[in-house]
Amino acid sequence: MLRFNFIRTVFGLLTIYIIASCVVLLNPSTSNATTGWQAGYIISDEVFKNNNSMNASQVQSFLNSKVSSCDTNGTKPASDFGRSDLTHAQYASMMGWPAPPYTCLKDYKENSLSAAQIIYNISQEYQINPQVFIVLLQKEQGLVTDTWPLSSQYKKAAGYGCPDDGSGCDSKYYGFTKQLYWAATMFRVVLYNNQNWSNPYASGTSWYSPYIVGNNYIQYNPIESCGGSSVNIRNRATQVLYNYTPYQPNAATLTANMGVTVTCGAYGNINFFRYFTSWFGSTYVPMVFKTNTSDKIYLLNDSKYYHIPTMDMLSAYGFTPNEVGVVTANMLNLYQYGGVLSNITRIDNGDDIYLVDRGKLAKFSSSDLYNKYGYTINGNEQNLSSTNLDRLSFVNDLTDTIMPAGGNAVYELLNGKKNHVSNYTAFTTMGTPIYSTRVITVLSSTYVNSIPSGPPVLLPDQIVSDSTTNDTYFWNGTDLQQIGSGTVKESKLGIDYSSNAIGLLPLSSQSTIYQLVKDSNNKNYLINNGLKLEIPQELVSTLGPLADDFVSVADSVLSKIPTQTTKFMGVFRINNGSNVFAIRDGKRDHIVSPDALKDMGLGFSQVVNLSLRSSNLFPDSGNIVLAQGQLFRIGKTDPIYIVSSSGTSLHITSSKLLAPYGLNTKNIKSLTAQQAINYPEVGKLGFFIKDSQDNVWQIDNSDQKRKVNTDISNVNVFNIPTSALPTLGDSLLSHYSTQLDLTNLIQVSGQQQVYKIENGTRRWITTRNVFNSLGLKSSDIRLVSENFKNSITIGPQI
Amino acid sequence: MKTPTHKKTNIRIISVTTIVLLLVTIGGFFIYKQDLFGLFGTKEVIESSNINNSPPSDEQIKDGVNTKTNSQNNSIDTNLKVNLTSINQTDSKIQIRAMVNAISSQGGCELQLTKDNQTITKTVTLQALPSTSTCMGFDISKTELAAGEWKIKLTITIGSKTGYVEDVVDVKI
Repeated sequence: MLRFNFIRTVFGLLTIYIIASCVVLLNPSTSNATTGWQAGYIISDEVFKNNNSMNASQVQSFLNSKVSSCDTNGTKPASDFGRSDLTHAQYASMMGWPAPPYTCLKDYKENSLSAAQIIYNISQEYQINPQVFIVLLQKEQGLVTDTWPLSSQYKKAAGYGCPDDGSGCDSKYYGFTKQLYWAATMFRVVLYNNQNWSNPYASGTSWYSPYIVGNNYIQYNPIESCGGSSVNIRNRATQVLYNYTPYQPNAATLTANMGVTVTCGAYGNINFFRYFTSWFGSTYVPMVFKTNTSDKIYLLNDSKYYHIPTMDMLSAYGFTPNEVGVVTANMLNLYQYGGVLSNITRIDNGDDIYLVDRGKLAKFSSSDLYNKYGYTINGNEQNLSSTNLDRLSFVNDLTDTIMPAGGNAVYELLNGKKNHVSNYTAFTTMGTPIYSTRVITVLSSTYVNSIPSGPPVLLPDQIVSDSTTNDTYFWNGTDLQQIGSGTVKESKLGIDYSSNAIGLLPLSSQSTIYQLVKDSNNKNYLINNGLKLEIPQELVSTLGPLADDFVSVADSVLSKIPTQTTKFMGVFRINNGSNVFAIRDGKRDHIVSPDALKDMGLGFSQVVNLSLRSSNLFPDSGNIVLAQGQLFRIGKTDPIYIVSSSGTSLHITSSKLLAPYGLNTKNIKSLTAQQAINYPEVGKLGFFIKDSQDNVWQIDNSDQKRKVNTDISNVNVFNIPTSALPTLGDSLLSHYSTQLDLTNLIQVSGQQQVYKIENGTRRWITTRNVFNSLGLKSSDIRLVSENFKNSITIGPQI
Repeated sequence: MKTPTHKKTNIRIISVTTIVLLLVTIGGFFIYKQDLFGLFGTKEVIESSNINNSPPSDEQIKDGVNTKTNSQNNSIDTNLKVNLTSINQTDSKIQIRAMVNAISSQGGCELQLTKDNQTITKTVTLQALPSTSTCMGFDISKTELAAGEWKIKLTITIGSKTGYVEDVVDVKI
């Protein structure tokens, strides 16, 4: 039983809950909230004047919807009056009220016109929103919702002529139609501020209002002791309502539910607001709205509406898209089109001009500042009324230094352009006055972005980049000197600042900086691998045409590039490759051997490493650098040459000379004719050669050299054409070991014959006795090769 | 033996049905409130373009009953109660507006402004309004007034009834 009771209880509770839920679903309009209530602005003039809000048929449908069943005969229980034991007719009788029939408003007629038609007709005649009349009938007599209205209620349907002293209504105003006419008369004359008035019953030329648009003292209740407060009535429609019902709700009334009576309460105006809001929506046209037939968004300001051209402009006025309301298209007819909304505006035709941004109004303090923002005063600035601009708050005056909200970039405005202060140091050291001492105006990033860029504010001696073109420049504080893109990479210079506004800075007349540069002391450098490589002045001439390409660059730039400790000596390799090159006439020759490098008086430590980009400054000449003593021939054909010295060659006329010089045909290089040009033949190789000091040497017996000693024997004994002798490079000569000086006595090793050289001939000294008789010494005899001996003409025997 | 089983089955059916109904109700209510399927009108259409043709709420009906009842009751207050609704000062004039809790266009208004030994008197007639009457405007040129505090006494007379109100205005020239 216990369990069954529990289940039954749960079931019962759930049933109640479901029924309650259904009640909620069926009655969504339970709002009596006073959200949006403003004592000084109960309803906008435009809504009040919107006579096209409903036609007669819609008024009729509305009235029908509010009374589902009319108790015409008063037979239904008067439970709504707390007397379910009585019928409405009995209750009325008890109260001394009129007897049936009771005609509901939806069925009511006067002069054959339905109440709906009367309401509509008068609304059109006086250009008043018919909804205002509907609400008026409800708040004054409850006629709209009344299921058994008394005939006396229709007499004073709009409460017109019913004084607050309770002395009863003036019969002069009795009648449904008359009541509405008088109400409409008062509405019209005050709303349109027109002193002339008329209706079917009277007319006049003046009409005074106890309340004005402005500050008024309005009581909470007809009883003076209930108090009141000052109310700033902001528009005529609100003035109309207070003229009609001269009381405002006190705090208790505002919090109490509709239909609940509170002490010192007055309900006329708050109920007007509540009924209107519940039945017809907002009593105001939203500040931003679009119509139900277009996506165009408008701002409502006083009696004008302005087209909001972009969502950014909507945001500038402090609205979000969610705040855009939708109204019927006919509402636009109530206002004047003010044009496309601008974010630059005057207020109430004042002298001051404001920027509207982030929902705030900031004043331009001077025409100069106005110009800095890119505007020019022309007298045609947009003007807005302050009436509907409560949404916008006034903030500090604008300045010429701005930054975007949420960002940290600072800009100086000039001539309608924003000049970016490039970094913190510039911010704290530049500008007049210095930027960091200025008042900075924070604006929306949207607005800041809309300002075209001007030249940035840069510290001097900065490397800057144009983010649009990717060009790089050196900024010296006055103008830009371009830096070649390859040079930028080669120098490994960091970019101090990049912007698409770099191109707005003035360009220098100086040449573009490439890899060949010179400083203020005329020191020449090659920018290479993130270093600057000094090129000694004496080597500049080897660069050929490039010698003229050195561009003067500020020392402040060059100081950003470290100096390579090794100077450039004209020889290099590429990307640490094994090939070594020498520069000649601005081109590179391939040095084919370490000896060739050595011949140049250089060691490997003096070979610098160039990047591929740097090396491309010196195109390949196709030439090669040979070491002295190197044999070569053109193509694969004879003759054979030997590199002698200083880029010359000697023709080896006989292979018999190879042995004495220790040369091997296996080491002959094959050159092109072009390459060979660099080694012009300057003579023929023989057993005698000169060194750089014009000493005459005899080369014989492979890798040996003997100096032709003039102390011992005049060289002429060999008839050597001294002046015509080719010179062999000293370095090559150094390869040969120095033997005893050559004398005028020679002997071929392993042979008995000793020869004395005289007048270019060899004379055999036939016997020892002869040798001795001539006073010769055996120690003066020099061993020579058979070839050498044979190269000397045979003379008469001795 | 069969009866208890049959009872249990009925209870189970009732419970399940109840829970399902509950869920459907809650779901339906949620869908309605959130208008998930756009069945109950477009949210973005503000109420100003809507006409609410649903029946009146209980509170509206109750308020209507109160209004009806009050409109049938008269409790006569024989005193005229005058109050100053606005004292507005412009560069050139002082505007004084007043209201009385009776409707008549036959009465009169007398305004006395007193400062030191000087008294200025103005009179106008009454104008009837829907539930009150107002004096037909006192717009006093500042050329008539010296700067400083002036005592105001405004008396309204309708037939044999009289009422007045006093105040002070600080005239700034």
